[in-house]
Amino acid sequence: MEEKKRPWLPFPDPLGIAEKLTENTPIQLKDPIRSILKEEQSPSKINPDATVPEWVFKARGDPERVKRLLERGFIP
Amino acid sequence: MILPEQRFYQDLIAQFCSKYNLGKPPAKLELLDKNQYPIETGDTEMLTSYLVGKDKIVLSPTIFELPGIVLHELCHHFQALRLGLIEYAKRYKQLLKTYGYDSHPYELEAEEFAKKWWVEFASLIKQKMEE
Repeated sequence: MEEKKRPWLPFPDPLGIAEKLTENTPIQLKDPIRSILKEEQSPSKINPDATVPEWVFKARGDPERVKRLLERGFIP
Repeated sequence: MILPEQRFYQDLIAQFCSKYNLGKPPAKLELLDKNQYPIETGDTEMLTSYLVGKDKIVLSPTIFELPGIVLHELCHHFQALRLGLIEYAKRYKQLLKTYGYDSHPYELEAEEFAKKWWVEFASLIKQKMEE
């Protein structure tokens, strides 16, 4: 997989999960990964009342995501 | 590392398919942890995905927060059963070229399916959590 050219990135990131919002901000993981990593999940925390928000469909259809999943034999 | 909660979701999906006569459940359902999921699937959005060749739904820990996202993948599984796994994968890619993702007929169907069955699915989750 060809990695995007990001001269500010000092380490390999073939999955493209690192981002830098502005020139002066530090490198961080993209959301929603960043939010998910904040705390461990457990089945007791399943929220059966949470409907799936609109951003999920948009996130599913991200062209880079679609490409990566199809390359691995997944349907995105 | 396979999370122990995987069994909960396997039973949940099997019961859901059976209770509403939706069809055969997927051959496999796997729940991966936050580190393994993006590496195995390439899905850095940490959602869910369907490995068509193995008829396997793969879940990320986002499933705890948004349990309904699995319904989208379940629909892809039923679509694959209708056409056969190989033909489905081929057809999916053809339609993607024509329609893109947002208007892809299989994706729109999966979204409709997820909305249609959400209430029943949420009800079954609550029931299982009380067991």
